[in-house]
Amino acid sequence: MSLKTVPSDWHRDVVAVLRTDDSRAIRYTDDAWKRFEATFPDAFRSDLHAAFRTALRDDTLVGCPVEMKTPPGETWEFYFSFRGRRLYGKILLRPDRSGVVIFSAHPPLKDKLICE
Amino acid sequence: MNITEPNTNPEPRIEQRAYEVSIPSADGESLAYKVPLMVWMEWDATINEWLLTPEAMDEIEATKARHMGLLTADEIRTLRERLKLTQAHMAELLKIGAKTWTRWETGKQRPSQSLNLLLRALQCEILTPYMLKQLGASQVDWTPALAASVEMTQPITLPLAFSLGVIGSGEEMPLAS
Repeated sequence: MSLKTVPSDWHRDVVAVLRTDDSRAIRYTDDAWKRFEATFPDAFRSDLHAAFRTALRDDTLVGCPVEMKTPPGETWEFYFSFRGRRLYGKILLRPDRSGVVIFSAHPPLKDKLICE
Repeated sequence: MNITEPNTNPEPRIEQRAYEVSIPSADGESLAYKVPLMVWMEWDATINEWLLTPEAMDEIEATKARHMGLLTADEIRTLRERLKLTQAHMAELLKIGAKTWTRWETGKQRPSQSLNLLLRALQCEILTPYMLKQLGASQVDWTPALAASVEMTQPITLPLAFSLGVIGSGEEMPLAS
C-alpha cells in the first residue's frame, strides 16, 4: 500500500465544516482533546481548526483512508503542521457531510501512517 | 472507499464524567497545572469512544481561558462599548484582522495572551485608545507620541511599561529625565 491523495471533495467538505467553528458539527473524542491539550495547553479549538483548514486546503495533501465498519462516514488520517510541529490528524466526515469527528490531533505515535 | 451504511444508533448515552483541563504556564509552552471538572460526555457506540459534548468543550475552554486570565467574549464586547468604538476601529487600533475582533466578541476565537495584555490595559484605563493610536502610527521613535499623551511628570508605572513592551528593571520608569 502507499499514501493516497486525500480526495478533493472530502477536503472541501471538511474545510467547510471546520470553517463554521460550530461545536455541534465539530465533535471531539475525549481522548483526542486530552492528547491535543497535553501537547499545546494554551491552544483553543479555533487554533486547531485553522491549522486543519490550512493543511486541507493543500490539494496535494496525502494520507490514508481508514477502513472501519463503524462509524458511518469517511475517515482519513494524515500529517499536518501546528505551530511548526508535525502532528498526526484523523478526521471522520459524517455521511451527510455536515459534521466531523476529530479522533486525533497529536504528535505521531507511530513512524508511519497505516497505508505507508 | 471506506464509506459504510448508516446504522441505527441506540439511544445516546450521556453522562457527566471527570475531565482535567490543562492550564499552560505563563509562556504557554508547558503545563502549569490541571483543573478537575465534571463535564457531559456522550458515548458513541459506533466509535466505541466518549465524545465531548458541545457544552463540555465550551466549559473546558472557558475554564482554561479564565485560568489564563483571558477576557471573556462578554468582557471584550463590554470594553468596546465602554470605549464607544466600532469593531472595525478596535481592529484597526490593535492592528488585527477586521474579522478577528468580531470573532473575539462572539467567542469563536480568543485573543493571544499578548493581545490580552493590551486589552487588560485598556480595560484598566492605564492605556487609552488615543495612546494606542499614537503608538501604532508609523514612526521611528514613539516616545514623543507617548509623551504627548501622558503627562510629562507622570512616570510610566511598571504595569503600563510592561503592557507597551517596555520592560523596566525598577518599580517605576520615569518617562522624561
